[in-house]
Amino acid sequence: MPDLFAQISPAWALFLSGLICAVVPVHTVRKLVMVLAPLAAFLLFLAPSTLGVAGGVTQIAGMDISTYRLDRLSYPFGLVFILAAFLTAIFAWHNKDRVQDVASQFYAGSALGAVFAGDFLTLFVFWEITAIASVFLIFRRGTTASRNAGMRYLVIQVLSGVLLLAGAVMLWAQTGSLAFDEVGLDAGLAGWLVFLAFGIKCAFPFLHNWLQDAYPQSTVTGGVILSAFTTKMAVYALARGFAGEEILIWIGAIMTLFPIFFAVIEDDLRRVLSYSINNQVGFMVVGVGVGTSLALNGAVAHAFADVIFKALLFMSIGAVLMRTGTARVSQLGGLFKSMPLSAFFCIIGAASISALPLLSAFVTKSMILAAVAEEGHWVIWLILIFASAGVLEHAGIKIPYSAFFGHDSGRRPAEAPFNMLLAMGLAAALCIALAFPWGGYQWLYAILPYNTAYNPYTWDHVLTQYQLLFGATAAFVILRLVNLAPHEKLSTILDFDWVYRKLGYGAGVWIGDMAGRLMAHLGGVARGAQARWGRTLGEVFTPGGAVARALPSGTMSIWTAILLGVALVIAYVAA
Amino acid sequence: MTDKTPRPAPENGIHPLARPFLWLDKSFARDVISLCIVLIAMILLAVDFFVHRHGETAIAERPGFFAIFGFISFAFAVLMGWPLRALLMRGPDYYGESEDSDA
Repeated sequence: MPDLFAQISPAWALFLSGLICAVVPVHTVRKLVMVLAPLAAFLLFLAPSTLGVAGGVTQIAGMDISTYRLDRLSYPFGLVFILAAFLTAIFAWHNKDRVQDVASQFYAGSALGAVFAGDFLTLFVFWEITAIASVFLIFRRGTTASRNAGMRYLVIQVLSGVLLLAGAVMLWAQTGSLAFDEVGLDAGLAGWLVFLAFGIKCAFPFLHNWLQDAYPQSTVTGGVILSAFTTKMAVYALARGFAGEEILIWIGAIMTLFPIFFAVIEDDLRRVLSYSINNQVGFMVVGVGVGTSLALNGAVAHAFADVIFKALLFMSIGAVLMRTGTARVSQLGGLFKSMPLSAFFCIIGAASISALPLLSAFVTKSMILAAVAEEGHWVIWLILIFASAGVLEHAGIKIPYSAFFGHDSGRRPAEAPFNMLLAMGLAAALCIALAFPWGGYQWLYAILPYNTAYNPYTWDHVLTQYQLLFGATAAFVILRLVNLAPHEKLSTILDFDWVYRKLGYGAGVWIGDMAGRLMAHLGGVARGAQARWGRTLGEVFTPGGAVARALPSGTMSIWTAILLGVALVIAYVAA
Repeated sequence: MTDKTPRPAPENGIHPLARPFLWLDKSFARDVISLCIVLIAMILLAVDFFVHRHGETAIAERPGFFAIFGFISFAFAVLMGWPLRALLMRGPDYYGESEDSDA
């Protein structure tokens, strides 16, 4: 019996929970199922006694399909996704929207399924379910902006799946195998198509706008759930298929850089957090690009830590949004007076993402930096150090400071409900536990893809990290003091999506308009021609027309004679 | 959809757990904290000139690199906000999509 359980992907536990939520109208029962489902998934996850499992193996039309591959790369991603599903279920306990309950279970389940997929067909199916299930977490906000952003999100996400399928089919034609292993860009067009598919969900530069567009428009609980899965699932896929591709080093470095500048001036804190996802995923992409065992360990460890501290930050800002109705910097401030626990947990999340020693990113991001330096990419290393200071600006300081401290907005909303605080508290505890010097980070390192002897707590590393963080915070203090920091305003900040939301939309409207006029003109021309032909035909064939006109029989006999004459000449010539 | 109702906090809105920290809002306290941060940054910078530490790259071994680079990076990112704001900031209704619930 345990052998049977060892073959079942934990994803099915969440899918089953989604199905139960779809039919159960009682709120409490649904919530209980949502909290228990990740626990069931965890038990299934523990069932295999060794790694290297290939479960759910079947053959479809001669193709080998495997829905459950548990190895050293999928293990940490699977574990953190189960953890994220558990935390988000607690966070969403108060939410009585059945549609969101179902969507979140299918979304988490499909992300888990994608991580455990052993072949491209399984990956494609789960890849698309993540898109379709998650969009309801955006739609259910119920605003015009969320509906439109959701549609844009869906189109881009489904496109990613279509590219993945096209690339997978081409790979199958080339190799005769659908196995999801290393792909590489040497595979030609097929490799590039899969790379692009992963790149969209990973939010590569210029493919990133779906993230900043859709996540801030999601529901309060939806934002937390969205932040955990899609991008990290894509990081896993990149690590599986494209580890060591040099182009990823530069793509990742750019991803760490550009969001910093947008996040500085952005007014919506959930959009700031969305840029922050870009930035943190950039670090992981660099790690995957470097491709050494230390770099890949760093990328995976950072993804693990990021799922938790990013969810924590989204939770605290979600609590603010729920209680005040806004997540805008320009309308917030001073909330620690009435929401001190949310403020405290937010600070833990902010310090974790900033890689403060004793908190999670400190023990994960540093592996990527060390690997980059080890391989001699010193320009990239400098970019990543700059980006680390930038993270402190927008995620480390701006988010907690502008929401909970800063200028007092006079708002005194109630503290977040108990379930939200519990989820935040658990996430904050994990941020501390993962970096704990005596057994904490060692546990995390032990579940990474490669064995490592890396030690983040050398005194040089701790000292330099404090120097970087305090140097940067001193800049914050001084710039505020001399009033040189730009204040956020209620506004829209343009990004690359302007190209399709304004320019493309405008071009579309213009083309539509012009096409309408052209059609109107062509219609006029066609109507005129039709009328003329109609008249002519009418003149010929109607009862009063030319054909029907009575003609003298003499004319007929003359024409008969002429025709017979012509036939005679032709027959003579032909003979 | 049920998670949008703003609710007022009890009493005058101050949470009992926040009461011991209300001094954080006083401008004097803020000045002291600011000063402490700058002082700690300067001490950490000074330490670098008295100890020998190993760095991952050649530039990282230069005394004061991390503190100075952190300061400059942060200041650069924030100050770039001015030209970017002029270039990229538009009105809140720029795309004409309402963020108010119409449910």
